[in-house]
Amino acid sequence: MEKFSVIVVGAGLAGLACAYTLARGDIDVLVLERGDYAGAKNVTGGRLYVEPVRSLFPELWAKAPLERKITREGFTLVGKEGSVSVELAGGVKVESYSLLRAKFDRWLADQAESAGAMIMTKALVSDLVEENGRIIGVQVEDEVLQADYIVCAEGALSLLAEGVGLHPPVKCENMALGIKEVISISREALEERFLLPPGEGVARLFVGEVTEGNFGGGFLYTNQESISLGLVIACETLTSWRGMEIYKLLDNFKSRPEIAAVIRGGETVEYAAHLVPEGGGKGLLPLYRPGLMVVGDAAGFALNLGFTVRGMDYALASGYYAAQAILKKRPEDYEKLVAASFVAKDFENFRSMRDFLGRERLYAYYPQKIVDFMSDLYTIPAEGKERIFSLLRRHFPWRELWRVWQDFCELRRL
Amino acid sequence: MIEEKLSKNVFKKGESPHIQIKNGCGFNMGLKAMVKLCPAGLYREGEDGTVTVSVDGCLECGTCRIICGGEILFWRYPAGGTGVQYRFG
Ligand SMILES: Cc1cc2nc3c(=O)[nH]c(=O)nc-3n(C[C@H](O)[C@H](O)[C@H](O)COP(=O)(O)OP(=O)(O)OC[C@H]3O[C@@H](n4cnc5c(N)ncnc54)[C@H](O)[C@@H]3O)c2cc1C
Ligand code: SF4
Repeated sequence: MEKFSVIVVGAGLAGLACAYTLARGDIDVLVLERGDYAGAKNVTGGRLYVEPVRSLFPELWAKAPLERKITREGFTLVGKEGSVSVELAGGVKVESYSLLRAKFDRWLADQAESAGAMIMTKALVSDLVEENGRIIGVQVEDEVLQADYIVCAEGALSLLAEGVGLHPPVKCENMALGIKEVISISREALEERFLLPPGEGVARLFVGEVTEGNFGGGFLYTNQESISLGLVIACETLTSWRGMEIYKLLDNFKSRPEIAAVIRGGETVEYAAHLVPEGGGKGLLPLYRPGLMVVGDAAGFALNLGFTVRGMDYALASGYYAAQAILKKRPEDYEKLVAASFVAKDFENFRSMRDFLGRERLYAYYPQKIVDFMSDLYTIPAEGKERIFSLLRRHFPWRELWRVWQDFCELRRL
Repeated sequence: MIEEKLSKNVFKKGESPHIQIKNGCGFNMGLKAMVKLCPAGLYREGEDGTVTVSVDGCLECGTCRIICGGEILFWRYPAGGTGVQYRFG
């Protein structure tokens, strides 16, 4: 039977980055992907931060099919009626780009193939095959394919790593559900509505009423000729969900005036849902056992920082580190390479973020409160305007200020 | 309408359903919750209170798997080359 040096399960960013790096190092590598093509099953918000991974694949970026360079960053607090927004324009320092996965992943798969990797699509791996405590192959339908190393890049649900006992079953506390529509809009309309120079784009995040005050938020990214619009909701809140149907939440979001104005005339061309790991809180999962390495979302490498979600750069980087460990013939060093990288550093630095973001008041209290305050601040009644200090005190009485102060003190832990 | 949203997707029907409710579990509370939580609206509660699932249009998000767990649901990915095929993602 033919034996490969490496089999990668999953043609997402993590799996493809690994296969590409290995193929360039002259290692024979087979990628197995269950979709019709690379990217057929993959969903993201959004936006890729290029800076952390630029030097890992310096030759790739000039031709990568990225959508728009994000030059405006917006954040909106959403109340029942009305919202308050802030936007950073012109001062965005770090390079990030919006992208669409079906296009990007397919392109990356082409790069890996040109470098010599073999990619087999429509192939679902049902199990990992174990012998004497070592992972030696994968089961695809009724066939076992063997390899010296298996790289598990299967994404958030991580069923294979769970199947061999490397990871515990995925828990609700560590996941969020993302739902998203891609809405097609002409390039001209898009640049006009968002005040964008050609090729530049905007990222906006929304918290508050968009999730009916629950832990989560909305996002909007502009692509070349479409808008990616969606919601991310912590699965923990879903276990005791009292709100409306999740898909209706997205319809409500779309019909809010802040959104309706920018998507008007646009046509929904796709509706997607996917889980996002909300890693960080409990430290890193095991990444290695003899014959097996876990990369990307399957290893829990995604962070929700509230103002942004990151996972794609971690997926690319972890795939690269797994490949480097194999190229150096020291696969067991993969964990060390991750530990010494920006990935582990970010997870360490933002360990408390998940707990902080889990505070209900961030979604159920502040957005509405600030919208109400601003609304009163801008009101000029016929009978004379209330003094500002009295307005402040009315909205934020002492007992409230005390709670705001407590929330503020929590910020020190971040 | 959720059906209209799903009709925008490319979906290739498989031979056998990749999600099945295990025998005798149709009244489970987690399953009932899925009626509101499934982003594709594929869980339905019948008049007698039993919940059923139809997998046509499934977005393969896995939410029902992590909410209900393996005791209630028989959950796998659909066979290679079937199910939803995102064109944008
Ligand atoms: C709504 C949403 C918004 C997000 N926003 C952002 C953002 O703005 N920025 C950011 O950086 N990150 C974001 N993320 C996170 C980011 O998308 C992920 O971290 C990233 O996609 C992970 O890539 P991956 O390669 O590890 O996994 P995936 O992209 O999930 O790839 C896994 C691959 O494995 C295949 N597969 C799985 N099981 C098998 C099997 N048994 N056999 C064969 N093939 C299999 C799948 O078909 C898939 O192709 C977001 C995620 C979501 C859902
Ligand atoms: S996997 Fe997601 S879309 Fe499919 S039935 Fe379960 S919850 Fe619904």
